[in-house]
Amino acid sequence: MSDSKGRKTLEPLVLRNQSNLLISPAEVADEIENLVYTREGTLRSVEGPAPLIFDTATNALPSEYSSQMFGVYHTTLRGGATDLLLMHSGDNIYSLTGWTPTSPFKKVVGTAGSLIRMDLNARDTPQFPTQFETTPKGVVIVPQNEGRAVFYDGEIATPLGYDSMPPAALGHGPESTDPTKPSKINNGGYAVSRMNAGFTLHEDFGFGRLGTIEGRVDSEIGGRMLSGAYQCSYQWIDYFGNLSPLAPRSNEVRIQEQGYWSDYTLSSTASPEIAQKQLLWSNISAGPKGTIGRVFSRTKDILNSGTQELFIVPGNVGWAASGAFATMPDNASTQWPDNVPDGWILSQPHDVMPVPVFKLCRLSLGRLWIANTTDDPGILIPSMPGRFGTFLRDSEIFPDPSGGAITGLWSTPSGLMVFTATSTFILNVGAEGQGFTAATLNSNVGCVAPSSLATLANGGVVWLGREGFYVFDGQQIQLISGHISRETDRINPVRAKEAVAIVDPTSKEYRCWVARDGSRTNNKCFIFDGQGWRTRKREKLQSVCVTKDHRKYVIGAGKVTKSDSTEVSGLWVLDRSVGHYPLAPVKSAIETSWITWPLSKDKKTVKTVYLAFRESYIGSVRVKVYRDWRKTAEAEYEDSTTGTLYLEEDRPPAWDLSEWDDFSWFRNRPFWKKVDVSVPACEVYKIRIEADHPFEFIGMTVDEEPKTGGFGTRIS
Amino acid sequence: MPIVIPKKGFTADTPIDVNDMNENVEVFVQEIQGSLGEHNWAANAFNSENLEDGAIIRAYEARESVNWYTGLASKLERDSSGFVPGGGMPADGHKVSTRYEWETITDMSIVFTAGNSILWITFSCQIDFSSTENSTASGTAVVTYGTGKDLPGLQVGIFIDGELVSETVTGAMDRSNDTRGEGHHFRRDPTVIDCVVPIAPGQHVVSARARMARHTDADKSYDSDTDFYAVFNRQLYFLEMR
Repeated sequence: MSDSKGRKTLEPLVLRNQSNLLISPAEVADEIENLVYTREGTLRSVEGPAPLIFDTATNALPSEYSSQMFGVYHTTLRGGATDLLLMHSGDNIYSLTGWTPTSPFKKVVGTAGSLIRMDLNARDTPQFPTQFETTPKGVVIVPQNEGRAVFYDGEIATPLGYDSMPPAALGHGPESTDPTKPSKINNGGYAVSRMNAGFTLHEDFGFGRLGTIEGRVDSEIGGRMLSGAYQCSYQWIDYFGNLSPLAPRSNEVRIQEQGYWSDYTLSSTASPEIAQKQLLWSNISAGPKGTIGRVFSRTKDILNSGTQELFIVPGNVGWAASGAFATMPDNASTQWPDNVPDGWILSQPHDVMPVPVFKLCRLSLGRLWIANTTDDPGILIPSMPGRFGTFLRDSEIFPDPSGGAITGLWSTPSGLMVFTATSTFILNVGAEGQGFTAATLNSNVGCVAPSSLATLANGGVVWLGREGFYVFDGQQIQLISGHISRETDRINPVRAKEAVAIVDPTSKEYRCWVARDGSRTNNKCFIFDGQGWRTRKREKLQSVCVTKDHRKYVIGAGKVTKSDSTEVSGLWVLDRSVGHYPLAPVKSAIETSWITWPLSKDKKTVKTVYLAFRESYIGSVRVKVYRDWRKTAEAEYEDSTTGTLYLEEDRPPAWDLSEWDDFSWFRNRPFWKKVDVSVPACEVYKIRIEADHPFEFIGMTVDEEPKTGGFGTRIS
Repeated sequence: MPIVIPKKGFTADTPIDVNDMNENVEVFVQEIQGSLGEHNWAANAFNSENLEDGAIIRAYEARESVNWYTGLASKLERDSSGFVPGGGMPADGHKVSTRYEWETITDMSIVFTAGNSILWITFSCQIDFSSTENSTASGTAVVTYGTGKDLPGLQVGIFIDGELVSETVTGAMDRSNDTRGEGHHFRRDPTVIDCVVPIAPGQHVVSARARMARHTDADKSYDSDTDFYAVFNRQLYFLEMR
């Protein structure tokens, strides 16, 4: 045994974060990979992932899984009564229907048999992941192949709002067979008296109500109904309450003047109201699938009311009392007998625009905001409050004056954050609650991946920009990945838009999967715990979500390598494990920085490494020591047996090694493990610990023996 | 209960931490003590073979058939001696009072107990009326007996626990210049109204009620022996969707 005199023991290195800087403090690692920060403050090898659904007998995965996964999303609706798990796999978007190992999904959007038939055209070109957003009425699904967005509530799926307007209706009213003869006025066409004189309708239906009356209060003779004119329009309304654009106005229906002192068709004592008319509007078109009614609008008497605006026509029966959603609460009838007087129509219809094809959406400020349309990538449009697929004309905003394409939307307590690739804005309600205002947060920093946005536990918003990861703390935007730029610079810029992220609800870490180097899939995960970074390579995820229920599972859609080295695609629950599912072993590693550059002009000998572990495996880690800035293929020192993950003198009971009744139950204990190494007279050194089986790391320290009289860093 | 997965998967040579073991079991115990969810059953697991009657939907019904036809006309119009307003009121028919107030139609009330559920209530009936008012066609002496031209309309509505479901009321809610805007005024008129209403747990009463609308002349009254509405065949039917 070497003499311990003259040795120096480093302060314990509790390595939790990594840095790629050449000169880093010893307390910061150069690499921490596939290790998860536990709730007890240690680092433990990545657990799992567990397949969400699989055949426990054959390990087969559901047949709906495609090699191309574009999205996964979980939410609950109706106060948790509806549990929705959506998955975009291949050419279809599916909804989980229940537990069955072979085919547990139903098609919502996609090929034949889907609730909505749409060609999703799975392709490998770079694109944003499929976007999902929960509204109080359902989930908005936004595929990225220039297909229309879809509204889905677990039972019903419809395209989001309407992308076209209804055709014009046709108006009918009374016609005069000879306008010059009193007896021939308003005696033809629709709503002509066939009953007692003076009645427009059968007496059991009462009188007509349309037509402007001019009274004669200064005379014993009655007044008259003036000549008038009317037009109508209408809108479809769908299951989710969304309105279509207004139909073009109908033809103008004219009514000719009628009254005692104008044409003598009414008796001198008759009320002129009995000459009022009823109209008929026909050719009212049924709407596309999902339409459940028509909201009818009409002008007041154009010739006499002083306005040509349209007003919503209430239903004849108790509109206000019943809260009826539409004038015509069906999608079948094509005619509307109109006996609603001008005095009953008060509200003007909403001037709705056709829903464009868009790439991004976010619920914020009580509205659904859509952005990056096919025709206008820089546009941002709010929906009506409560009608999340209804967008009013002239409500659009262009946050970036230069018209840059919007690449991200995120809701924060401060307002809606809007990103282009090179700039960031925040949008909020305008003064006195009117309109919206957009303010520039940063004109040089933007976001390249809409699904990389996530909110940390402390409220900070993190995302992937061109130069790396940024955080917005409510005050300013900061680059937080500068010291791992050697790693982030390897993110494939073409595929960066496919990056996906969540904040893990257990560890509170921000995790973002990105494609690096030449990869076409997200093959590496960057993890930010609020202080520093780690990395993870266990899964290749193209989409990831956190379940909105009490489970708080992180579910990823993508590929995992099995024990036979094949990659399988599917849905995976991260950091959960089903022990018998045959996954490839996970390689976990911790590598220190070069220890210790400030003292490198004096050489030292590395004598002993002490590893603080917690019992985690009946086996050992591999310990490697490199020296003098040379990370060679063959380490200066390597040992695969000494660094055991348990104490030989106190071996814990282990799975497959202990009988059920043959041991007492314990908690896995921490311990120190001593590994004697021999790295003589080095300037700097680094230690790497790695294993293909799980280990739980607490910290380490090192015994050094200074070399007096020698020289450290080579000076020439 | 949604799909749950153990926190830690034990594999060979892994030390068994008592906390890990307990947590793996607890996750299932906790879920089962809560409520199972739709994802815990295989697709299409719910069918008539493994569901008890009433497990999802329960039906309630009250009905009454009325022999109202004389062979020539309604018994309200005519008896064997000719036109007698109100003279032949069928025994099982319900005469609506002329007090202008809501009243429960005979036998159209159901008491039941339910949990949180949704009711789909349908009430259908046949309405008739009797009137001493006759009509004379213009220029002739021909009388159409009992047209009741001035008789206000009849309204029917569905009530839950004594509260009117307003959208079920027949007729318009205003008068304007429509003399019969408040209700129906047709002979032997079939009417169906329905509504879908969520209810809270407990005992409830669903009823169908009727009233004669008030005349535009608020002081006008009618002789309930001769000028009134009646409800003949009727059915109150509802589904409790659990």
